[in-house]
Amino acid sequence: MNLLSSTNQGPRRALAPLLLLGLLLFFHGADAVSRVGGGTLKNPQEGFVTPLPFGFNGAAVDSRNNFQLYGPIHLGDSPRGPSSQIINIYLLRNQRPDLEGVTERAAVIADYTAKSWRRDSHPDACVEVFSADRPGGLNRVLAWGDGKGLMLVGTPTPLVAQALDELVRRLQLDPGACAWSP
Amino acid sequence: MKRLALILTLTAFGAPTLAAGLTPAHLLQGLPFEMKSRIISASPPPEDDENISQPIRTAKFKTPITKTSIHTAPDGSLSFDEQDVCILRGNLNVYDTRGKYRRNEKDINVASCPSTLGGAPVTVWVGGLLDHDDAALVDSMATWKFVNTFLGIWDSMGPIRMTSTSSATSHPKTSSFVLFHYPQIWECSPTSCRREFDEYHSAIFEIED
Repeated sequence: MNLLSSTNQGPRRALAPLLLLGLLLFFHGADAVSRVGGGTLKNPQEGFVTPLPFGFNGAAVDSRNNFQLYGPIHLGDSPRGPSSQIINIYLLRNQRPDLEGVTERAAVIADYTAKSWRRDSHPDACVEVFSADRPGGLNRVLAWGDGKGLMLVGTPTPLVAQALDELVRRLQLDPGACAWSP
Repeated sequence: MKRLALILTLTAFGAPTLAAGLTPAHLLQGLPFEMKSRIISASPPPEDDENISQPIRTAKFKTPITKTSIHTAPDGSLSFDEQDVCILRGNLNVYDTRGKYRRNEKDINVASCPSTLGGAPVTVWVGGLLDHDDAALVDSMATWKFVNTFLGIWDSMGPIRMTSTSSATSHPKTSSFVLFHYPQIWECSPTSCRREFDEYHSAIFEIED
């Protein structure tokens, strides 16, 4: 079963068969990753849910349950022509296994800010957000203690930046997911 | 004004893993394959193929196949790194019959990239985008509308019809890449087409193990 999964938000007409399919998959124990349009990204173990940004579609889950979103082709004015717009979504524990067990919020803040990551705010006060925009990728880290969280990296285009902001801003934690020590 | 942007979809076999930083257990379920599966299921054009004899234009194309990888910086941030791993070249004939756009893949000649793509044969699918004036020509297919979204600037364009895809099902799905290619933009009248501008080509590819 995939730890990182998304659910589909198709047209109303398609809801009934989708629901039926979802139930079948649920009871069969298969992963319910949707790769067609819209949807919600969620992970009960990590304890979050966030809608997929408009125009981006989930297209990949790797063996470590990392996720990939594809957006529209970026046409831009590059002499190389169109380029892909991709957001890779990693479980933070896959990128920073050293943070597992770390529940001191100040320690995580110090770790990222010392590496010149920018600390941003989040509607949920439990979620720490760090950003690092580099020429080759727009990075976001969302952490809520004990190594739980996500790392997002997108190709550096305005649309991807907007989608990353949307992913970050609309992420909601499940009740009890916040794992910082008091 | 009618515009046509041509799309080539290519599939190679025995290719290495080149997906963007993720283990590619996915690509046949991703967007490109959604397109390909639609291509496979698309209906043939309604007009008689006998009326399609000579191409209006033969376009040559040169398309880089790009490898995308992820690099980790000392500060822990990640970056995408793209590099061209080979160039595909080929010819594309564009047909125009009774004022309708036509595309046909039979004259396409694509050179594979033996060293980097496993020396496997390449199969080409050709598709097109039609603007809203052509909406009556083609089926309304959700995927094509999605493709329009996918292509960003083509918001006003209608759905797409693909031409023959007889070879689409003849290949196993062992390894594949999908290439989107925009070799030409065409402006067409009922009797002829002319190239609006050239040298607008690139490739988006995916590979599955």
